[in-house]
Amino acid sequence: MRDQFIKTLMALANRDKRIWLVAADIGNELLDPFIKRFPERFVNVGIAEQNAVGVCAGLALSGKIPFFYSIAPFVYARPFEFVQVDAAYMELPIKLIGVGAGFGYGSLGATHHAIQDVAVMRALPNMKVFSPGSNEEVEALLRATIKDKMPCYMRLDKGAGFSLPRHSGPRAGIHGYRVKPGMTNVRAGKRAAIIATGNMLRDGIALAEKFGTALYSAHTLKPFDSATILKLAKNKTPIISLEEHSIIGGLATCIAETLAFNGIAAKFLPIAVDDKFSHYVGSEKYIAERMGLGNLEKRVAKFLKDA
Amino acid sequence: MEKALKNVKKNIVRMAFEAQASHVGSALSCADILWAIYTRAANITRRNLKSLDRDKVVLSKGHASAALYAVLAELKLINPKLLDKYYIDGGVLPGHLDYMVSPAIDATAGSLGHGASIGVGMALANPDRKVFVVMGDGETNEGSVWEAALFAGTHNLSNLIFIIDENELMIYGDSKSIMDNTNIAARFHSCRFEAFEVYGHDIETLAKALNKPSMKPKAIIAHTLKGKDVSFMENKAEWHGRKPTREEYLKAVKEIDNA
Repeated sequence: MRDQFIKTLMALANRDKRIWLVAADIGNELLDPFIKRFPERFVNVGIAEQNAVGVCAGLALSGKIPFFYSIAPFVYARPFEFVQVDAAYMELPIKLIGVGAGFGYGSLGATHHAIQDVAVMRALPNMKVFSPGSNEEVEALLRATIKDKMPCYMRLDKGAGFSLPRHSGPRAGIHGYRVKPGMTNVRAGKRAAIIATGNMLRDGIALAEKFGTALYSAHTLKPFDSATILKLAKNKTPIISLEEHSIIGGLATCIAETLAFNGIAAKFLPIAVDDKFSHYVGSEKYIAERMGLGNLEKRVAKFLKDA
Repeated sequence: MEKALKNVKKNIVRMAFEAQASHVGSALSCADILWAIYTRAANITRRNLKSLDRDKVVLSKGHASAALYAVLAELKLINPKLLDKYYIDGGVLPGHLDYMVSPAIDATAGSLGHGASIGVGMALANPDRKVFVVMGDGETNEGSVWEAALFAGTHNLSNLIFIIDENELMIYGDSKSIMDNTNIAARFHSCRFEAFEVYGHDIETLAKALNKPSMKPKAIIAHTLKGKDVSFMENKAEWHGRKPTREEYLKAVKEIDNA
């Protein structure tokens, strides 16, 4: 997914001279093509994330569109108060890109995991929160955010990324897959609807195919596509959410808030990360299974049986 | 003292009294510095105010906002009537700077240690402009100031000018006993700045320092007095937060007039 990020950013930067890229000594190999092609619009501030966000603000106040790219916790958590004041409060078009969503940096340990990022960033006024599940969504969201004068936070899967199979969507166009604002209906189905976000879209596809449910990719968590959730609830469709993010403040919370604030009940199975830090050692998959994302098929089967 | 600068200082005390606002001592500490920047160094006029490329002034010690408002009003860069809309219910000018209020305010401030980084970004965005960042000496306790300074020195941002309002007072008192700042010029020097110390209340001295040609980023350590030109406020830490009474206000105005 990060490869798609740099590919799209290069294409955008080629046409739009306002685009700058700021790094904090992370991502040199990945960002290399940008650095070589646009050296005058690249800044490595060193291991100094507060300065990275402040520098972005100075650039944005001078009419630029700065992208700050780093490992997710060093984008949203380490310089949080700079993000709050210089991006959100000042309403500047600073684009924060956090790589390694969820347990992407598995074995490196919990300092490098990002399982509270959506909760934290969603609480900031003016901040849009993106969690793309496929390369097509990465590209579409990046293109859209250039036109938006507000800041955003995008969490990216560390892996190479994932392209949905062509013609997988019910409204597949000539490019096979169209990204809709808010949520994309990836697959039709009757028994239930799976709402997946980020890298969990892959698991969502497997589950949806196995159980014949509908599948949506919630690539934008703020603003949240409440309308789709309300429509499902009104049709009495059971809802399953899938996210590699804490149960607090992420996709499950977005859905629960939507239902509660509108006084509508729905059968709802939230599958998310437990409210605890990982002290496990292992890959993303290994840790995720032990942190609340295991036994997916069993849990979904039980839920559908009861629902 | 120039009559216009007297007006600035009288307005600072008037605003603090009328709105019963804090930080009057902090504002008087840096009023001369801001006056020198706007009238002797920065190219900022009503005409170029909205230009993205013009010189920039970042008042990073945002609690001294009254000083900036009073200077901008005196120079008609903001409507002088706005000074009556400071700090109060339904006001326009907040206690700490909000850049969305006016194109004359170059950055939001209030949380200390942001302006240095914002100034670096502004200096990078346009090497042909000058960027002035006014910080408090207490503010340089913040680690982010040094993230910005190391970067500016490494990349030789010669269009960046930091001015440290060195009044040696913090909320708890003498800064030497809290976070010792006596070697601050040397610290900036070690970050590859051209750093030097000046008396911070002489406009022509400040102008000379601000305009001194340099191949490196500059750090001007301006030795100042908190509460300058009001005898009972001068060098008193309590005037960081205290609000003037009517009697104190009238006395202060008289003293500024006679300064």
